[in-house]
Amino acid sequence: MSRAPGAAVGGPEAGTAPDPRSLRDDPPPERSRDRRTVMAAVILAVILLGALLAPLISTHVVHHGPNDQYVATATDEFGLPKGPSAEFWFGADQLGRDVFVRALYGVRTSLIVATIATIIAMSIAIVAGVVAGFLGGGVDSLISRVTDVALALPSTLLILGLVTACSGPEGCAGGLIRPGMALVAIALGLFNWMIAARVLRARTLSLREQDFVQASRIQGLSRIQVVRKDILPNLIGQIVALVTIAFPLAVLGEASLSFLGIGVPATTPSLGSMLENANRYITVAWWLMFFPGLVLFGLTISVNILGEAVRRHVDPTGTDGFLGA
Amino acid sequence: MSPGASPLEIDGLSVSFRTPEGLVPAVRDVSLRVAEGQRVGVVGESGSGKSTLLLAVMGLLDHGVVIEGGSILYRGRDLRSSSAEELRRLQGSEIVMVFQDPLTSLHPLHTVGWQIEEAITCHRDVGKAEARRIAVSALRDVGLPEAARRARQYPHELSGGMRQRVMIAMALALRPSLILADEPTTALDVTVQAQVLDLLEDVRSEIGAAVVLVTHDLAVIAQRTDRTVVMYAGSIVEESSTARIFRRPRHPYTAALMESLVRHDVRPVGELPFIPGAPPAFPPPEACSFAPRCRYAEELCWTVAPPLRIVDSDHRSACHLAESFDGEGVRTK
Amino acid sequence: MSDVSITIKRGEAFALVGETGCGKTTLARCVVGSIRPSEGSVTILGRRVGTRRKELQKVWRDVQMVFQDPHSSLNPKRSILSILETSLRTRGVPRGRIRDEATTLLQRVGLDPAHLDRFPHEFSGGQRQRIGIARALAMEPQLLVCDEPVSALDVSIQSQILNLLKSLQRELGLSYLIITHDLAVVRHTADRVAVMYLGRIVEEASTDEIFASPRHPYTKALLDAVPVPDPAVPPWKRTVLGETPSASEWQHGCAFRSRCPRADELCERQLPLLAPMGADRSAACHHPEDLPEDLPPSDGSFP
Repeated sequence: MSRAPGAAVGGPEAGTAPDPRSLRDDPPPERSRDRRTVMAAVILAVILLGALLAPLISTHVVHHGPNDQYVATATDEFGLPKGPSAEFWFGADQLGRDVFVRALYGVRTSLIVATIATIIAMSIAIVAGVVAGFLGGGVDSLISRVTDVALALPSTLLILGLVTACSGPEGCAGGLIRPGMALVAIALGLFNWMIAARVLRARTLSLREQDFVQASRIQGLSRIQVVRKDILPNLIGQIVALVTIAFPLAVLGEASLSFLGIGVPATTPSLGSMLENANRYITVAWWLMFFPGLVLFGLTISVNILGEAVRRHVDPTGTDGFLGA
Repeated sequence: MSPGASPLEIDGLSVSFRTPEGLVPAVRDVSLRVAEGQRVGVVGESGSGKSTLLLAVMGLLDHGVVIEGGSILYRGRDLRSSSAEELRRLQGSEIVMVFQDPLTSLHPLHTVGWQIEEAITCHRDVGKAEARRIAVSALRDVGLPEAARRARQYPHELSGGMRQRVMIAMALALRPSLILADEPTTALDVTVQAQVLDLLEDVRSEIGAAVVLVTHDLAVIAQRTDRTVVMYAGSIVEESSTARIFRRPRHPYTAALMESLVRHDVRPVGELPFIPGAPPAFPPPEACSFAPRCRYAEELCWTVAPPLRIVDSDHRSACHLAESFDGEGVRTK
Repeated sequence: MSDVSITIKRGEAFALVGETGCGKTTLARCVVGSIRPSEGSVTILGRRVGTRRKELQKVWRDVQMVFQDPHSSLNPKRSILSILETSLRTRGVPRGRIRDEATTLLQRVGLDPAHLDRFPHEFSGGQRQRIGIARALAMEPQLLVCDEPVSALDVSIQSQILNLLKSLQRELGLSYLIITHDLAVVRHTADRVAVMYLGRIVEEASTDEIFASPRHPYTKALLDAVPVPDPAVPPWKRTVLGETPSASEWQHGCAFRSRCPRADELCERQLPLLAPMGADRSAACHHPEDLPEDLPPSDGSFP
C-alpha cells in the first residue's frame, strides 16, 4: 500500500550510498548494470543491422558474394588465404571467399534457425507445462515422465543419427525430411523444451492454488477459460524470461551442430561451420577463427545481457508479483 | 559505551525507500527513548513505519532503503557509525531480535539446540559442554516439552509457537539487555499467543531486559507494555505511558483507532465506528498526515505539520488540537 | 474433519470459529464444492452440492465465497470490470447491461464506479476486499461463505468491512457462513456460533450465549486468551497450556484432553459427543463448565 518495494531500483540511485554497516548479505544493485545493457544493445543492433542488410552490403558495399571464390585476389602466391585488408575486411578463407560477408550471412542463419527453434520449443513447453501443472494427477505424471525421458536423451547423438540417415538423395519419410535449416531448427526445438516446461509447470501449480483461480471456478468458468484468463496472463513474465534464455542457447546450438557438420548444409554459411573450417588453418590464418568467433560471441552475449534487462523489467522479483510463489 | 545510559535512544531518525521516482519516506523524524527494563510498545498499521524503525536499529534494512538522518544510540554507543562486525557482535550478546516468523531467523540446516549453543559460545565465555547445558535448560524453561529431544530437532520440525519459544530461549540464554520484537505473535493462534507473551514477560523480568514490542494489535499493547508509542504514516503521533494513553488519548488517530477496534468482550450496538479512508501512501510534508481522515481537522491541520510536543505530564502528541482534545479512551464495561 | 453437522437458517449469520488446523477452512471449501467430503453431504436450499460441473454450476448460483487474502483473491491481470463480468455473464446478464450492473455492484459495496477499468494493484487491501464481496454478490447468491473476511486488513479498515457485511445482510436478506479465528469478528457479525477443535465441533450456541456462558473448556480458554485493549485488565489467566496436537497424535477420547484443566480418565477413554446444554445449544464435553459464576472478569459482556 504505502510501502514501495525495496527491490524496485530501476532508475539512477538518488545520491545516497548503501548502508556500509548493513548486516544483510544480498549484494547491492550494481550501477554498472545500465552501462552494460546499453553496450549490449548497441552491439546487438550493429550485428542485427549487418545481418539484415547482408545482401545489400554484399552486393553494393563490398562487392563480394558469400560463396564467390576470389582466388586471384584473395590468395597469395602459395595458395594461402590473405588476411584482413581493405578489400577483405575480415580476410579471406582457403577458397578465396570473403569472411566478412560470410559472417554476415552466417548471422542470418543463426537468427533464423534460433527463432524457429525457440518458437517450437516454447510452444511445446507452454502446452506441456501448463497442462501438466493445471490438470495434475495422471496427466501431470505422464507429461512429467515424458519430460524426464526427453531430458535424458542424448540430443546431439540423436540429431547426428537423424541427419545422417536423411542425408541420402531421397531424404527420409519420402523426401519430407532433408538436411537443411528447417531440420536443424526443428531438431533444436524438439530437444530444448524440457526445462522451460518444468518451470512453467511449477509456476502453473502455484498459480492454481491462488484464490482468484478458485474464485473464477466458482464464478462458473470452465477449466479452459480459467487457463486462458487466469493462468496464461500471469505466466507472461516467466515466458518472456524463458525466451530470453532459450534464444541464445538455440544460437549456440545451431553453431555447435554446424561445427560438427550435422547442422545446416555446407552451402549455407554458418558461423559454426566457419569455425570448424578455421580449425584446419589456425596456424596460417588466424582471422578465419577470430572474426566468426567474435561475431558469435558478440551475438550471444549481447542477447544474454539484454535478456537479463528484459527479465528485470518485466518481472523483477522472478515471481510475476506473487511472493512466495 | 556507557552501561548506565539507556538501552535505546533514537533521535530524529528518518528512513526512506529509494524508488525510481525518488526517495519515499518511511520513517520521519522519530525520537524515542527506552529506559532500563522498560516495555515499550510501538503500535501502528501497515505503512506506519514501525517495522522499518526496528530494522533500522539493527542494520537490517534492505539495500533500497536508506537512513537519511538522526541517531541511534545503544547505551550511549552510536549504532549508525558502528561497523557491520560490531553490530553482529552486539546482536546476540546484548540485543536480541524476535521476528514474526522465526523460520526466517533460524537457520534451517542446524538443529535448534546447536543454534542456541553457537550463540552462547559466541557471546558468552563458556565452553561447549556448558553451553549445551545452558541451551537445554533454557529450552526447558520456556516450556518446550522434552527439551533435550527438541534441541536435536530442526526448525521446520517444530510448530510456529515452538519456534518462537526457541527464540525466547535464545534470549534467556544470552541475557541481552534489549529485546526487539516485531509482531512476535501475529502468526500464532490466540491461545499460543497468550502463552508466548506470558513467557516473554517472564523471561524479560528475570533478566531485566528492556523490550520494544512492535505490533498492530492494540490489545497486546494495552496489556503487555508500560509505554505506548503510536505511529502513523512514518511519524510518532502520540506517546505516553500505556495506562495514560488508553485512559485518555490525546490524538484523534489514537482515539479513532481505539473506538473502531472490534472487540470480543463488548456487546455490539448498531454500526461499528470506523475511520474512513486509508493510511496515505505519500504523506505531504506540510500538513498533518491524518487530516484527510480526521473529523476534527481544521485549516491549520492542512497547512502546517503538527510537531510532536508535550501536551501533558509525560504525554506527547503531534496534534494542533491536542490540549483541547478529549478522547474517550477505552470503554470499560 | 469429522462428523460435522450444522444448519444455517435463511438470513442467519453463522460463524465457525477455531484456531489453525481445526478444519474450518476445509468445511468452507466443502460448502462451495471445491472439496468433496469423504462422508456426508452439503445441501444448499434443498439442492445437494455434488461433484459434477453441471450440478456445481447450479450450486454456485446460490452460494458464493469471499476470500481471505485481498492480494491473491483478485487476478492482477484483469480489470475490475472483467472480474465482475465473469459472474454477470454466468448469471446471464446481456452484454449491453454488464457495465451498468457492475456499476451498481461497486456502489453497493461502497466503491466509486469510475474505477471499473482499473486493476487490482491500484487499490488498497480494504478496497480489494470490497471488490471480492462485489464479485460474490454479482451472482446474487443466498449464502455467502466468508473465509476470514477481515484478518488480512488493517485494524482501522476491519470495522468498515464488517459494517458492510452487516448492512448487506440486512439489505439483501443474505445468509452468511463466516469462518474466522477472531472472536471479535464473531461477536459483531454472527447470530450463531460453532466452535471447532481438531476437526470436530465442540460447542454450538447463539452468539450471546457463547460469550456469556461458554460450556466447553476450549471455548472458555479461547475467550480467556484473547487480549483486551484495556490496561486495567490483567492479561490472561493461563487456563490452558501447550498447543493443538496434530491430528495423528490424538488417538482416542476427547481431543482436547491434553490441554484441558478438567480432563480425567473418562475423557481419555471416551470421545464426548455433542449433547444439548440448553434450549438451542450443545457442547461435546464430559465436564462442561457449569454456570456463569466462573466467568473470568475479562468478559464484561454479561447482559
